[in-house]
Amino acid sequence: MNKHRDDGKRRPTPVDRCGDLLARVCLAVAAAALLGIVAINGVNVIARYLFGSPFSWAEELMLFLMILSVFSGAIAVTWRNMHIRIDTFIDRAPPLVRQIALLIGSLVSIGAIVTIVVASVRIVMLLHALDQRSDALDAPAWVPQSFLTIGLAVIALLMAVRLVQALVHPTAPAGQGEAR
Amino acid sequence: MTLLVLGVLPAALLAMGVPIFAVLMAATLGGIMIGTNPVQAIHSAMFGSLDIFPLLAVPLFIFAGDIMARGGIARRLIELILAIVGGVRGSLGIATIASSEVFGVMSGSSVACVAAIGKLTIPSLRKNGYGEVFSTSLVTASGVISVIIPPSIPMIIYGIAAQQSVPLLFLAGFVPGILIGGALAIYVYFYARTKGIPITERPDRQSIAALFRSSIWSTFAPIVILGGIYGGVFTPTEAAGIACIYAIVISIFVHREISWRDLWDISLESAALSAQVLIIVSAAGAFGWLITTSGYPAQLIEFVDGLKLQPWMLLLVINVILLFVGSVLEPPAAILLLTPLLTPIVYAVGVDPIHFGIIVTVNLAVGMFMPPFGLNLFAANALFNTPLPRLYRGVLPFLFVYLVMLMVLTYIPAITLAPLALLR
Repeated sequence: MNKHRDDGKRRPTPVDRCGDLLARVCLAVAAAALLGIVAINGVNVIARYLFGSPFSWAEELMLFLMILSVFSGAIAVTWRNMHIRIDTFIDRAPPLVRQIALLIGSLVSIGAIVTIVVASVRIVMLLHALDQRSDALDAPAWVPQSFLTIGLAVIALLMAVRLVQALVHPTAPAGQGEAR
Repeated sequence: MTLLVLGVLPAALLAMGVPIFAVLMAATLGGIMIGTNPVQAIHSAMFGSLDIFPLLAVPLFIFAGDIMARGGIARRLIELILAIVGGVRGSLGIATIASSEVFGVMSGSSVACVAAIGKLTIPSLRKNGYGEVFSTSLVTASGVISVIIPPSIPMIIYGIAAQQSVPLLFLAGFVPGILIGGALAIYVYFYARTKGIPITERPDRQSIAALFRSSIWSTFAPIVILGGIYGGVFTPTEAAGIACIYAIVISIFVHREISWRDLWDISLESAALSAQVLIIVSAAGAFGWLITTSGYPAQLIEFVDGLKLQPWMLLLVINVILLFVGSVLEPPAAILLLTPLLTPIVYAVGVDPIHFGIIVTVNLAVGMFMPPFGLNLFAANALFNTPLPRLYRGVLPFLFVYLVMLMVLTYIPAITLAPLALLR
């Protein structure tokens, strides 16, 4: 049975609460990585002008942090349904067409992302087995590469959860404000 | 089959409202399936598209712009401009355009520009007789200058996609940005004269001096960013990071308009916005790699060669395509989708890559307020409650000004290329 509140919003389920928490944590990681980039960039510029030489590892670390920030942030963006898309046409379509488009679009997206994730896991495992390391930071290369793999895997999972929610409750948005 | 997988499938998914990054990943996977490359190559191409140092400038400029908008730096600069430009026919309208130019130096976000400038200027514009529709249309149209005037995020993305120098693109974008602002100002002047809008009083020197004192640290922000890049002190990426630190220090310790808690909230918003843009960069990198390695650009050049189009006709056709795409797609995504396809064609007819970067940027900027789908129109409608049909009519004269300037910039490359002699 669907439980709806007076304002037409569905009561948040445990799945909604887990999704909201995951989105908040991932966005906090992304924001912390962004602040980390700002700090490293500033220290690096100061080091170059005060001590005559920048840190050799700074550029690599900033890039790894950016990749972490992108895929961590993208998880939150997926849950909050904030990805950039062209909604001009679909918003004008009848509800049934919208539902069909959501179903087809989500299945194609999830299928493509999962296929890429499977291939991606093989690359990460290979890098781990070979103990390949980055040039300047000497960090295990599989670590930053796995940000992409894990990020895409979680995005596919959240897309699937959102699809099920949309099919089960076609008219009722999730209870909490951030879950649109 | 190729057309189906790389043309029809992405177009259908885009129309269905599928996130652009997922469309690109599905199209790339489809292209891989009908070709001989392994699926693992998509991972490498996606990771490699983000593992580029100049790309760091994108999240940093987004963050810097957000802090400056919320921390009072942008507001102080706008108030100073409004005071300085007083005493001229159409001064408030002209000050609105000048404010958009200055906001553009600090933030590449057009919607943020419309929101920030509009909130400050629309009440005064309406009070001085410009009318609701003209005021909102002016802010909507001048807001897109912020993606043309450097440092511009679309230019950074184009620089990476087309492998061109970002500082050269920035330098080439200055004159077009100022010329477009000038053309809009001329239109506003004649509009004010025709409508008999009264000349506003210029504030006395003491008021201007007081405003200058309160905005002194704000005026240094553009100097830090652009002076740092062209003075050879920082790379564009470093300048973006320094702009963040400068904005944090000024907003928290000097202006005291934001707290550490606010800074954290701003960083959450900037991180989300950066993720929205950069995941597309990552997926588009894989799509671009597929397009490039598959040999389609060569086939496309052959096809266009067969049409026997004059270079001016080719540029006209490309302008129309870019305007349409720009009206339904945000500039970074549009650049990443089209650059691998368009650049080989225009290079083949001798168009300078930097000049083409400016043509692309201006087209996509104009698309942002082009009826009926331009993003800024919806933003202005939501922010200022001006009905869309009235806004559609209101922006038409501004659209005309932009299109005239677009033609001038397209067919007189010297406007964009002449300043490059300073760096080349």
